[in-house]
Amino acid sequence: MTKVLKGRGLSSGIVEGEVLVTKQPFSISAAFTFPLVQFSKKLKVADRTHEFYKKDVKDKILIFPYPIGTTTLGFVLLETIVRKIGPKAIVCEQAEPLMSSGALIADIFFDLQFPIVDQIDFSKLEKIENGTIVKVNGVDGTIEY
Amino acid sequence: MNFGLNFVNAAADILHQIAEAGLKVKVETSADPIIDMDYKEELKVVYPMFTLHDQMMKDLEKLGIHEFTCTPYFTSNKPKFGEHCAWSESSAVIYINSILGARSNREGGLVDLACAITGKTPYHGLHLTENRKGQILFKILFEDWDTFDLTSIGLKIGEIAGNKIPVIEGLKKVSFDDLKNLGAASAASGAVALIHVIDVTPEAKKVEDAFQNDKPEEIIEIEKKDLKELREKYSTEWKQQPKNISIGCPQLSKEEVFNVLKKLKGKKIQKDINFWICTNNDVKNSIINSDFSDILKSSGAKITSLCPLLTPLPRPLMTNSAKTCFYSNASYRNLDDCIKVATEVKEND
Repeated sequence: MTKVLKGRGLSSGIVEGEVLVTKQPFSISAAFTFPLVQFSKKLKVADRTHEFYKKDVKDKILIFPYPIGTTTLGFVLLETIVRKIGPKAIVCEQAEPLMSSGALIADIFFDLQFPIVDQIDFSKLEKIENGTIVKVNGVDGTIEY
Repeated sequence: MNFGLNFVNAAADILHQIAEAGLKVKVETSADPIIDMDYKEELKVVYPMFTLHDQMMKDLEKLGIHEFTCTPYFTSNKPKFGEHCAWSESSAVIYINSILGARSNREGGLVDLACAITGKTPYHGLHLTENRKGQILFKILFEDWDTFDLTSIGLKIGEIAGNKIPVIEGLKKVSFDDLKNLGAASAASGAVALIHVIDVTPEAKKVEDAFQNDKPEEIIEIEKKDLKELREKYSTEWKQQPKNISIGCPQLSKEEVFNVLKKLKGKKIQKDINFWICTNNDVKNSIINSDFSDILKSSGAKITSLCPLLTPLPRPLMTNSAKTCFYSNASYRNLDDCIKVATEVKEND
């Protein structure tokens, strides 16, 4: 890992893993609610309008520009963290307090860390593609690859 | 507040801890609808998913929350212009920001509950006047739009605006009910929390007001033909006849319910179709106790306070709601077509 991009750390935790990256905004509620309702062991994206559709995001690091969709997204993210079936971390251009709340509540109430880093310049992400191994540091707000 | 998702065990667990600790809400607080216990038979397929229902309802009531609707602005929880709020439920956030001129960010994930208990919310985002400035101008180029077109326009605006603030020109005669449905769609396909509509919404008397004397970052024109492509993208076309038809998401206003019932007069829903008219509990009870109850009985339609999204209705599903269509695999049709499918038996069936 030689390259470091500096952004803003929104929730604690340092993890390393394979990336799933998109330039399309991402609705956590549309993507994860259905598999959570089904108590699936895998977390396959259920949003048929998204390029991640049917992709299993378990243990992945999700990179997308910003979250969209209804305000259940904090709860939904929290549930994926607590059930340990979801992604390991999220990297965005612009996050939203609503999304960070899921990660912060997991830390406070369940002692589970889920780093979110935003303010990453997406024009510098050309070399990151699906499968690239990336380290996300939610404490100092960096990603390394 | 948004507490509809019963399968979210982690959130229910925290809610229970908070309720057990004896904390109470300090300000008027309502929560999203959950399930309608009046339809146990029709909804028995989904009932096993609602194991947390009783506990969550008790916990919410302990905290001082007694109203359950996604449109609380139609009942007692209607903020005033300029009032600072902490709301979740994306369709309600966009309604109070845009139509009422109240101020709320998109809250949720228990932060809303913390705001209700403390009576305070962080002063950032849409609480600040400068952050309520319009960013993208959408020009509606056709004048013969109807209620259904407006829901599709909402999806289109959400897709393009993302998390920016749209300003719409060309909807001078739009009703607030139609704007409610348009906003809900934009908040599903985007992260839109505020829409200015020129000459309609309170912070957009003129174009200059909406953009706070600045220029739009972008101008987008929407034509009627754009909507056809959009409907094809989002609608799920089932080969089979729908088992459930869901009208209203967000829940319908009283006037919208009247409109549906007037169209149902003299018609009969086929016996193997559930036709749901979704509204808040107050409207539901007032309709049941009014002359309109005759139309309900004769048509076989079901008026309900359920949330069609959080009470996943068995498929095949049909809806007139862009929001339900976005989140569910539903066929997306206008109200007249939904009624036609529900009431007309096909000759070859």
